[in-house]
Amino acid sequence: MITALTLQELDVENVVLRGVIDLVVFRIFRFDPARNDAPTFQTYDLPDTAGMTILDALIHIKENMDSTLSFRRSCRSAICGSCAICANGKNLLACNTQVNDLKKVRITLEPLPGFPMMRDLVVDWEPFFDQYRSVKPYMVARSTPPEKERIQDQKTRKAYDEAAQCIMCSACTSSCPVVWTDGNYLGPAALTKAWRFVADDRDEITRERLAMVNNEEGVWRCHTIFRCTDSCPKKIDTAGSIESLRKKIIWHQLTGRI
Amino acid sequence: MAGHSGLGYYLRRVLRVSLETGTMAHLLHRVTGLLIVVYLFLHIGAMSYTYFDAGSGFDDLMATFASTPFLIVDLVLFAGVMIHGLNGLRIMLFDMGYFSRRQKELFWVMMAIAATSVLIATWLVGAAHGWW
Ligand code: HEM
Ligand code: SF4
Ligand code: FES
Repeated sequence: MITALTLQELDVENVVLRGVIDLVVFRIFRFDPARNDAPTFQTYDLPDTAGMTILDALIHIKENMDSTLSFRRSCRSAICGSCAICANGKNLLACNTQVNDLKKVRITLEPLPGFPMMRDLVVDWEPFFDQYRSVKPYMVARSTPPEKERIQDQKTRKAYDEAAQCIMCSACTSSCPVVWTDGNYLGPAALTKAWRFVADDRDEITRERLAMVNNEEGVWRCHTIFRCTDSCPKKIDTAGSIESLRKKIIWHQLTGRI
Repeated sequence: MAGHSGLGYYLRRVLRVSLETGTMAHLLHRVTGLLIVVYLFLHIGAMSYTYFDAGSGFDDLMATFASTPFLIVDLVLFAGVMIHGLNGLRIMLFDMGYFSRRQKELFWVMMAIAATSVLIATWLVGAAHGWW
């Protein structure tokens, strides 16, 4: 009989073993600034993870094994964006990722990289929402509205359909190696939000929006690494929306509009 | 607490990331870019040899550079330049608005071209120096 202990000792990360023993070793990042000087990793062994999401596993650990574990969650259905974490180096939503889909015997859970740590898996999102607020994440239309509604054709609606799906989970911004280097970079989530309103023809401050992101810490900081696109639980091509903004800026400059 | 951005943070994180295709392309691009810069300085250094020694020293140096170990290093450099250049083209295509949704496939297309060119270069260098 292979025990959890030998598994940890051997540092096994073998997919084949998953069929032999039904046990997953969770290595979870633990840090409480009030008590600890430095973060540590604590392991929890969970048998029988079939049908469990990572969030189910976290809730199971908190309820049955260690009530001191902290993590964020709310909706449990991939819509509030609060449960985004970093699992085996990849950002994802804990509530819509099956443990067994990761096909690993050992799963390392860390708080989202690139943000200040608060406690265990919880990060401080203030810097993230500061960036979000800075791009005016709402429609600005100062002209007198028509009697019924501001009409938009289906093709234009489609242009920002993808970007409008964002749930502000921050998985993209946190996954970006440029964000890891430069804390002042606006990041893919805020830029995708900017693109969402630039592509919406009912919005009337396109030029101001382009000027907001047309700088060193805006669209031009992006290195097109695509980690953001790969991380997005809503499958938004965030890197693509940054490229779309760049293209629009260049086009406006060539035609003398900015 | 340790910072959450900066060069040190980038290096620590980047050593533990999940290696999706785009991330791999980024790391390769960075490493090859730096490699070529290092080569550039070595190259300028070596070429400035004539400045200090007008005798036959430079010819001897050139003969050394034509030996097998140096030729192999040349081929590694060539591979680095091809990977960097072709991936650079890939990135520029995204900037022009193309293939963003096909970035993974495009990476492997570029790497296939790079691999083919390195094979051809190896064959040509080998033929010129009697390896086969
Ligand atoms: C062969 C043609 C070349 C092309 C098409 C090319 C293309 C590019 C592009 C598009 C970038 C920006 C990548 C990004 O946004 O992260 C870049 C970065 C860079 N290139 Fe090149 N390049 C070429 C040759 C060279 C040469 C000859 C050198 C060295 C002497 C060099 C050194 C670098 C370095 C150091 C970087 C920065 C890498 C980074 O920040 O990740 N490149 N190159
Ligand atoms: S773009 Fe995707 S990954 Fe980024 S915050 Fe929105 S939903 Fe999350
Ligand atoms: S708990 Fe709401 S998105 Fe996961």
